[in-house]
Amino acid sequence: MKRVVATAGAAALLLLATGAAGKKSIVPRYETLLLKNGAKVYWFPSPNIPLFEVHLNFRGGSDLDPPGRSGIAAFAAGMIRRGVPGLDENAISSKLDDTAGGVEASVGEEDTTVSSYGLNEHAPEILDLMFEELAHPTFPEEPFKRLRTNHLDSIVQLPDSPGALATHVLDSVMFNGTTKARPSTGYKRDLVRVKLDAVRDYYPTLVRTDKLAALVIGGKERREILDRVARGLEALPCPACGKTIPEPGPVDLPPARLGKGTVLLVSRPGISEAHVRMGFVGPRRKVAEFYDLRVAETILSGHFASRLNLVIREKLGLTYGINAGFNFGTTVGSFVLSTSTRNDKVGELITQVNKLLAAFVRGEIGEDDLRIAKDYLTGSFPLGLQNVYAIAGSVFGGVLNGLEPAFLDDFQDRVNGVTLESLRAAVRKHVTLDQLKTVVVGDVKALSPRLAKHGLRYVVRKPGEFL
Amino acid sequence: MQALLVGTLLALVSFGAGCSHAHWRPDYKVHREKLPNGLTVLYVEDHTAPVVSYTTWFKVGSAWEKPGSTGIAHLFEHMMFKGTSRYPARKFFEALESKGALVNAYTQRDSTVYYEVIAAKYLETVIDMESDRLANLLLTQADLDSERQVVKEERRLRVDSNFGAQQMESLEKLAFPTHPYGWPVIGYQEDLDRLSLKECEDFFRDYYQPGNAIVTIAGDFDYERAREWMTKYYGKLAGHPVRELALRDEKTAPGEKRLTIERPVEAESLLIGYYIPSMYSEDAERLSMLAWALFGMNSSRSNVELVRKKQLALGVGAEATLERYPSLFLVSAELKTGQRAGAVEEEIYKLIEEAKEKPLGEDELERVKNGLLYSTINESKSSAGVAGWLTSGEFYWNDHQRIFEKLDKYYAMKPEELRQVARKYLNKENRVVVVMKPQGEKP
Repeated sequence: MKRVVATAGAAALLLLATGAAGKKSIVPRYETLLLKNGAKVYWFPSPNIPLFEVHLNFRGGSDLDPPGRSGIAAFAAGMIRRGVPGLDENAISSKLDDTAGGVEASVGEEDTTVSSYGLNEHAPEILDLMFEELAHPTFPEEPFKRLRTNHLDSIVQLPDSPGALATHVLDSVMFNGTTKARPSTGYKRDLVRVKLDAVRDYYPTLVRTDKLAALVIGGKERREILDRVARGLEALPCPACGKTIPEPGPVDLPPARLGKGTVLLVSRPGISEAHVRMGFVGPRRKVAEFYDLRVAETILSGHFASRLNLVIREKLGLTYGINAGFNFGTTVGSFVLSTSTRNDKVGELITQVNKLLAAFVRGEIGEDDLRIAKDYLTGSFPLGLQNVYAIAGSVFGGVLNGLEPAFLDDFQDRVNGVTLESLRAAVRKHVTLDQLKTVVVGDVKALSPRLAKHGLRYVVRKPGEFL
Repeated sequence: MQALLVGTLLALVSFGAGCSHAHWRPDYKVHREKLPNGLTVLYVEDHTAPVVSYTTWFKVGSAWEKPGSTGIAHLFEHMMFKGTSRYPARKFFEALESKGALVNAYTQRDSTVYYEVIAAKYLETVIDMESDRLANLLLTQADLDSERQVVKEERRLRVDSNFGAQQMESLEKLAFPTHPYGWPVIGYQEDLDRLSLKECEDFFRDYYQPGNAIVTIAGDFDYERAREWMTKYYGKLAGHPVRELALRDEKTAPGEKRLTIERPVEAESLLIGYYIPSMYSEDAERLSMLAWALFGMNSSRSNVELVRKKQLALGVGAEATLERYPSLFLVSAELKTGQRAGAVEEEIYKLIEEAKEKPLGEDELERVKNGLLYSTINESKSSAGVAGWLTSGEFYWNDHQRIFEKLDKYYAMKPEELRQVARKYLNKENRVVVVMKPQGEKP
């Protein structure tokens, strides 16, 4: 990437860089702009497709929910679509549907994203509406009450989706002691207490231009989409800018404390399948061994010839599907294995998976494993980069994790640089089986004897203890 | 060989009376040819990225099954990955995945589809391997036994542990007591246990023939080279007669059919199906548009009334399932905890009655057309998306361009047409209803 500093056409913009670089770069031409209020904008033109996408990424999400107020960030983001002066939420929906456009807000643990999309010809109306929603949300009472009951319902009804419940419970036990143990929508006990005034007061903490990175895709010329986004961002009020957000204290979930090797069995009667999740806290995206770990997870999972699939599904016939891999977060990550099996095989499945993972950590990895995984990763690399929208999304994802935009250009070389030694060392260091947590959601009566038969200790809990 | 060039169709903007949406045509070169053994091939050239997608559609799905042998179409889809003498099972995957390919398949009522997405330079390898398994697939009892377990596991995961799927299965069974659309694509456990190797061999012989397939290649390839490879690898396959499917439409006694099922869930849920004609009917697109307009948009009446104003449901949706045989106009509601399905049902019928009495507004219809335009362009971001439409047109109408005619029909639709189909099909005597209620031991 060539780094250029120059003033741009719009007075408020500082053109930081133009990218893409030379002929060999995968990344197409893009520009990076720094606005006066600190917001950084990445613009990828899309001259051939008349669609635009804008993604505003505000650093800070549900992790920052204060103790006893879990879910408040999700409420604050949820209120973005509920009204602006002169338009209630139904009028907003009609206006967006009139243009086939969309404005969406979502909260993750570490960030809050507000996105808009549509046809280029309608970009002015859609973008103006998005910025009005961000700058002047009216926080109406009725939609707030509905949002609260919806969030409560999503929690109460979670046991109706045993797989989703298992994933949530694993997060709870894996991240126990941290804010990441909480559901993003908040605990039931906190949701019933939350007041609209509190959400209104909290909102500026979330929408901060000094903690903003934006991705703009679309248009041939800057004036079509980019300039309007830049003007909208510069006009956003930011009363919290410059202020320090206090980190919330640790979260502890007494029922979720698990002894080493103990299976947490969560009761979900009436189903013939046991939903199994296993995992441990893992490294963040900028970990030095990132490429070794990508190769490692590819040996384990993600394609037909991967070890978990060949042994657990093909050889032993214990499951329809089994997946495992690292989620490399911005600050912290995780390793999660997801599968399911018929009730009478749950003990055997967990035992076999433990055995397989233990052998992996012991270094039972061959040159063939390494070669196949590297070939798969490097060969499949272009499949996810078939148009500017996909490439821009990958670049932006990397940037949010602190990488240089050109990281994509190095991907294949870095994967090919992984050796058997570096791979084994990375697995020993980061596949921390002594920290492995195992959660099973299913019919306790059917499952408990099967766990006991295989010598697996277990504790039984009810879903409500995690909600 | 018949080669047709769709040509370069750029975005055309037309401003008709009361219609401000643009008509979009994707900018890809398309060729079609038919090999002497009956195989149809579509070539969709797109040099944006060095990738090709390769799909093979077979005209066989669960609609071709017989009672007692349900699930064979889907189980056989699994068996297609068991390999040949040149590429035994594991080698088949390794050969493709070592090149980074995405390899998978899916089975529907009317079709079974296999696909690979792979770096463009490996196209010839894919053609070789796909033609090889079509000619030389090895079927063994051991493979059938192990794959049967995997499929039964899949059913336990997708249906037996999924109460919503059980509700849908109940609705289809109630709606189609004799027609194959009444049983699930994945089949019943007891039938899966019974399926024999002989049945699999017969199924392969009867339906996995070049004349019963369409191959679509989309992406970065040279048309002439690709044609040469297709002729070289597929041209040598003999074509055998394909067993034709002749089904009668389901004839059920008029009158509403209802069923209540009880499951250990937290909230009630509602599923309504109205009998509608097949995709070949003149009314097919109108019903599809009606479902989208009434239930599919954020601003749709159902969302305004049931979700936002009366707050009875977390979400309401509808879809006209357009298939080879008459199917259902499905309306589903995910209820808020403590709400009653009966109350939601009543509100849904009110909305439908309103749509019968008074045509939807031009503005409501225009929103759907705009949504359609956006989706169309969004799908055209990749040639694989466009290839999917073209193959669908070829598959159902023997005309890959038919899909564009259908788009034009959507754009030309008038509110009164939607009112007419609502009156014709969305009636009490024409519907099936399944309510799921909480029951049993709570967690």
